[in-house]
Amino acid sequence: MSRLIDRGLEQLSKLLFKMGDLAEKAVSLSFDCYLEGRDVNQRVQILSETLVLLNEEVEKKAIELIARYQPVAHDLRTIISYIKIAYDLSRVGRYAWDITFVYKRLDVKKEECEFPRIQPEKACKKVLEMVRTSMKAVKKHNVELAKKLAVMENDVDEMYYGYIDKLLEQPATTKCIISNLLFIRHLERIADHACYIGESVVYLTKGERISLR
Amino acid sequence: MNGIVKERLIFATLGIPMLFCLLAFIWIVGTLLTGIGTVNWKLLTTSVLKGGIFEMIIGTMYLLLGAAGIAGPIGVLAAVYLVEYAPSGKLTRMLDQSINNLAGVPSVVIGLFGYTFFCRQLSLGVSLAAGWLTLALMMLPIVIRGTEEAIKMVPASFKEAALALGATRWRAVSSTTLSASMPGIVTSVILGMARVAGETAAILFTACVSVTRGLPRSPFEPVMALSYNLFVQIVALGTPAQRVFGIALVLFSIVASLAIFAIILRTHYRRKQPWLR
Amino acid sequence: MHVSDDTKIDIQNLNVWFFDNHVLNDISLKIKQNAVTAIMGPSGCGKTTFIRAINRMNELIRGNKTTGEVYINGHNIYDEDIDLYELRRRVGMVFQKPNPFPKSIYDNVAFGPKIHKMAKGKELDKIVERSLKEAALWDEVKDRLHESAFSLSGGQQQRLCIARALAVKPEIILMDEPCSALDPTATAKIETLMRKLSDNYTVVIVTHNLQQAARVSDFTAFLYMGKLVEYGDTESVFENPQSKLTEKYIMGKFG
Repeated sequence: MSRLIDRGLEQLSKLLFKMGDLAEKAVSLSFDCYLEGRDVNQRVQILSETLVLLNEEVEKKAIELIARYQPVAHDLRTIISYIKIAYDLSRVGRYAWDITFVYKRLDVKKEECEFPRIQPEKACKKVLEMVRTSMKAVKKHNVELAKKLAVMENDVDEMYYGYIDKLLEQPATTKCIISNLLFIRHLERIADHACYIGESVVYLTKGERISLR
Repeated sequence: MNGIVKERLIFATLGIPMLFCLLAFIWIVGTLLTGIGTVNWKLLTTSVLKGGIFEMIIGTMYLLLGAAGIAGPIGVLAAVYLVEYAPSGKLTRMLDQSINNLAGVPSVVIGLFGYTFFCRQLSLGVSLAAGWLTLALMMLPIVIRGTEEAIKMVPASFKEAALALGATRWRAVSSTTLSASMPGIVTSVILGMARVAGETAAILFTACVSVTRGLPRSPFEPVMALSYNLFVQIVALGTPAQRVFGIALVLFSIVASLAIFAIILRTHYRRKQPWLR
Repeated sequence: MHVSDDTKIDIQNLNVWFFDNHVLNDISLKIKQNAVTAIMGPSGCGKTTFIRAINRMNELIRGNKTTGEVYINGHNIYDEDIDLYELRRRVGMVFQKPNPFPKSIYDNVAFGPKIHKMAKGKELDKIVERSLKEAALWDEVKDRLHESAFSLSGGQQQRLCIARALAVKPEIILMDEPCSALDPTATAKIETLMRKLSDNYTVVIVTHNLQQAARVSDFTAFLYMGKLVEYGDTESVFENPQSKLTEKYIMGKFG
C-alpha cells in the first residue's frame, strides 16, 4: 500500500541519484584533466556548484518529510542517511573541481609533472570505481556492495602513502610537488567520502553504525 | 404524484388520528367542566356528612402516599436487582415476564386478590392498609419499569470509574448510577401515583366505604376515596350530572397535577444530566 | 516470588478469553517501575484487554476467562486471597472518554478516599488539594471546587479523572487512550503530565497514536492479534525495531 511519505521519499531519491550521476561525471572529468591534460575546469566547476545547490535541495526536502510525516525506523534512517550522502556527494564534486583548479591555477602541463615510476591511472580508476560502487549501493540499498568499499579503500590508502614516500624520494620542482601532492590528497578524500556513503548505506539498511575506513 | 405532495399526504394521514385524540381529550374535559359550577372551596373543605367531599380528597391522598411508600422502595430495589445484579438466564427472564404479567392483570382481579389475601387472609379487613397493599401491586410494574429506564439511561462509565477506584459493586451502583437516576425514579413514582389515583375496582372492596365518620384514625380503618365515591354516586345514588362531573373534575385535576408535576421535575433535573443530550 | 530490582509488574503467560474469543495469547513481559510504558498495536489487538488485566477489570465483562500470573510487588494479583478492592486502589485507571462523576469537583476527587475510609474533614481537603495539584489542575479550579465537574472543559475533565485516581495514592496508573477524545492543546498538557507522573508512579498507557507512544514513553510494547511482538526501550523500537512486523506497523505499511 502506498503511503503519503512514499511520494516524498521517491522525490528525495531522485534528487540523490541525480547528484550521484553528476558526482561521477565530475570525478571522471577531473581525472581526464589530470591524466590527459584536458581543460575541463569550467565544466567541472559547473558540476560542483550544481551539486552544492542539489545538496541544499535534498536537505530541504528531508526536513519537509521529517516535519510532515514524523518518520520512524527505516524511513527515518533513510532520510537521515540521504542527508549525509548528499553532503558527501557535494564534497566529492568539490574535490573534483579542486583537482582541475589546481592544474589550471598552477598551469601544469601534462608531461611536465608526471609521477615518475608510479601509475596514477590505477589510483584514478580505483577511486572512480569506488564512487560508482557507492552510488550503486545507495540505489539498491545493498550492504555487500557497501562493504566492498572497505577493501577498495585499503588499496587507495596504500597507494596514497606509497606516492607520498615516492614523492619524498624524487627530486622535482616545487610546482610539481605541490600539484601532485594536492592531487593525491584530493583523490584520497574522494575515496573517504565514498566510504562514508557506504557506511550510511549500512546504517540505512541495518541500523548499525560501522566504519569502513 | 411528486414527492412534496406525497409527503404532505402522509403527514395529514398521520396527523389525523393525533387530532382525534386531541379532540376526544378536549371533549372529555369539556364535559367535566360542565360540573364546574358545583365546585367551590366550600365543597372541598366541608365534611361529607355535611355535603362536602373533604374526607374523600384526603382519603385519596392517603391511599396514594401509602401505596407509593410501599411500591417505591420495593420497586426501586427490584429494578436495581434486575439491571445490575440479575444473571442472564431463564430465571431472570421469568422474573421479567412476571412483571409484565402483573401489569396486565385487570384491576378488578387485583382487587379480588387484594380482598382475598390482604383483607381476609391477613385479617386486615376493609382498610386503608389493604388499599395500600393492593394499589402498591398496581404501581409496582410502573415503578420498576420507570426505574429500570432511568438507570439504563445513566452511562455505565460512572459505575466503571467507581469500580476502578476500588468501590464494591453496591457502592459503585448506589453512589453513581442510582443517585444520577434519582430524578427519573421520582418521576416514575409520581406517574405511578397518577395512574392509580383513579383506580376504583382495586379499592372497591379492599379499602373503601361510601360514608364514614371522619378520617380513618388508623391504617386498619376503611377510607373514602374520590374514585369510589364517583362510582357510588352514579350507580347507587343517582346524583345529578353536574355534581358528578364536579367531583370527577376534582379527581381529574389531582391526577393532572401529579402528571404535570412529574414532567416539571423531569425537565428541571435534565439540566443536571448532560449525558442525556 | 518474582521481584527484580526495577520491575513493578511482572506478567507471565497471560491468556484472556471472552467466551471462545482468545483475545490475549500467552503474554509475558516485565513493566519497569517509575517509567512510562506504552502499549501500541492496531485496533482489536488486545491492548485494552491487556491493561484491564492489570487491575482485574476484565472480570466485569461476561464470558471472561483469565489464566497466567500478574505479579505486583511480588504477589500474584490473581491469587485467591487478594483483596480486589485494595488492588484497584493501588492500580488506578483513567479511561478514554473523560468520565467524571455527576458531582462537584471536590466530591469527584474525594470519592476514592471516602470509600476507602482514608480521611475526613480537613485531612480530606488536603488530599483533594494535593491530588489536584499533582494533576496540574489546582490553579484552574481552586476557586470553584463545589461547582459541577461538567462545567470543566474536556481536557480539564480528564485531568480531574487523573486527580481522582491519584487521590487514593496508587502505585500504578493505567491509562487507556487518555487523549483520544481531546484537542491537541489538551493532549499536550496531559502528555507532559504523564512524564511528570512517572517520577513517582509507574505509568502504563495504551495508545493507537504512534507519535504519542514515541513522545511520551520510555518503553514500548507492540501487540498484534493478541500476541506480544516486540518490547523494548522506545528509542530502539522506533529507530531500529527488531521485528519486521513492528517495522511495518510503525511505518504505516499495514492494511
